[in-house]
Amino acid sequence: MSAGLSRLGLGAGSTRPPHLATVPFVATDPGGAGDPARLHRARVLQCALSRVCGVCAQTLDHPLHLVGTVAEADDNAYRLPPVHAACVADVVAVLTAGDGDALGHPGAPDRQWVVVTTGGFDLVRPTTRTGLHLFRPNAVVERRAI
Amino acid sequence: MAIADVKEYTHLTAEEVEEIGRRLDELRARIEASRNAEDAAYIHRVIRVQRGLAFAGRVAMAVGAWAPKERKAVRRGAVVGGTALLGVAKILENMEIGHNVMHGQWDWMNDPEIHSSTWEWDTAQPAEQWKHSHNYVHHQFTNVLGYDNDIGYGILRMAREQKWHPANLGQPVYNSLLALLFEWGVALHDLDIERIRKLEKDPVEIIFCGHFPDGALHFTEEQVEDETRAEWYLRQMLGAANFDGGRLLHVLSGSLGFQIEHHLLPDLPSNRYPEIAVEVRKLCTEFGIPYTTGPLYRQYGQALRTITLLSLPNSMTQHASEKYGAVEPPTAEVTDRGRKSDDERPTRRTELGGWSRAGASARA
Repeated sequence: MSAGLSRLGLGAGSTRPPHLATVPFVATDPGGAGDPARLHRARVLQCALSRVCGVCAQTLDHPLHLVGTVAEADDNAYRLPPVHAACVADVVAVLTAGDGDALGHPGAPDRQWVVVTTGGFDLVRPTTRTGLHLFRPNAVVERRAI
Repeated sequence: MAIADVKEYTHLTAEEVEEIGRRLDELRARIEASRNAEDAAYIHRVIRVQRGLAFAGRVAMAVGAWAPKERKAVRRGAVVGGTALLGVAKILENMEIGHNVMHGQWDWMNDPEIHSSTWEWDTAQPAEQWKHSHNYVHHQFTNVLGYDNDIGYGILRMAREQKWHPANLGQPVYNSLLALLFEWGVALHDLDIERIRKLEKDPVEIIFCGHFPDGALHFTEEQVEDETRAEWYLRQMLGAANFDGGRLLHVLSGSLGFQIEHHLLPDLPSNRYPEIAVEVRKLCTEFGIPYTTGPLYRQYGQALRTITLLSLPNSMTQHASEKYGAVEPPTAEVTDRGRKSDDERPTRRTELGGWSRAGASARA
């Protein structure tokens, strides 16, 4: 990484663009606006392939962290792309802000959330036109309830 | 028109498309489940060899520099040998190691040193930018005119649908320059740093053999909207082309002689592509889908022929239109595969591939 590119913000690590402070990157549209209730399908794919964090859009580090419901953890298939350790709190804050829809998860009372730490993941593309892209951790080192 | 409506697919029923997807899913699951210590040993071995070559090359260069001046043969031999060793080390570093590690092919090992998130390489385009332009833009919008900047890297006209400009007459020369200066060409072709920073924009030979021999198709943006996994598989198969060769050639080319398999399953270990290829080829034969492959010289020759022919306006190359023609609408009756109407589709993406989109917008 050259000094010039670093100055321009590429590879800036934990530096987070201010407009993403409340809406995770994965819920934003190309213009930067977004709705924390929904996942932006193209952003999910971009995070998966570009290997960037679903919250801050910066390059991921090792290990990766996947956040989802207990059911997702049991199925080993998560809806949200991986995030940095430092960004887990941000995504959890959005998910637990209420009982309503949150980041593509339908609203429900008493949802329980899990964080999984993994070395890698396999991307599962949807079989239907409106289906979800899913993330399957393939080197789980820890599963932790929130 | 969806990808499944391209004429090469029109003989397939919706059920057959789904069956192809199911079979490839099974293949993927089988490989994923069988990743093992031998695979890990493979990438460790390649990295050891690469580092050994780089070290030996530097030692040879040092010997050349320090040898007595009267021993010209030693000095010359050391420089030539050292350069060759460093060249092979660089090829391995960029192709079989860097390219594949940054696809996440070895993330399952949970090794922080050999991981898509942490790997950096000694080339003009930083890993972060490469993962955007290659992993995301190129692999998601493979051969999609106006999106995939790997189609001609912004300076070559590689499809008849791209508008011809008099500057295209110099294409054979530009291609040679691109081959010589490839790492800088790759670095520049998606460089729009200011827009990436603001998040307004989502952030040659082997490559050309993988997408531009006869048989590898180009697509339009309408053909990739709302495609299913099975349709995505199909597009990858038709948008890529393999080349034949021995194991050494495949390793030195980053296993991109298995370009079709790489585009189908980009995050599976590259050393497994040969066994995957056997099954993919069988599947293509069974369902009557083209599986484009051939010797390297022929595939590259076809790519060069395309570059040369497309340096001329379409009106001067009508005789070649069958081989280099645009993707024509299907003539057979197209099966209703349950696609959305234009009104139901999401708004088009606007932030990608602006450079080549400008050259592709007009239909010649």
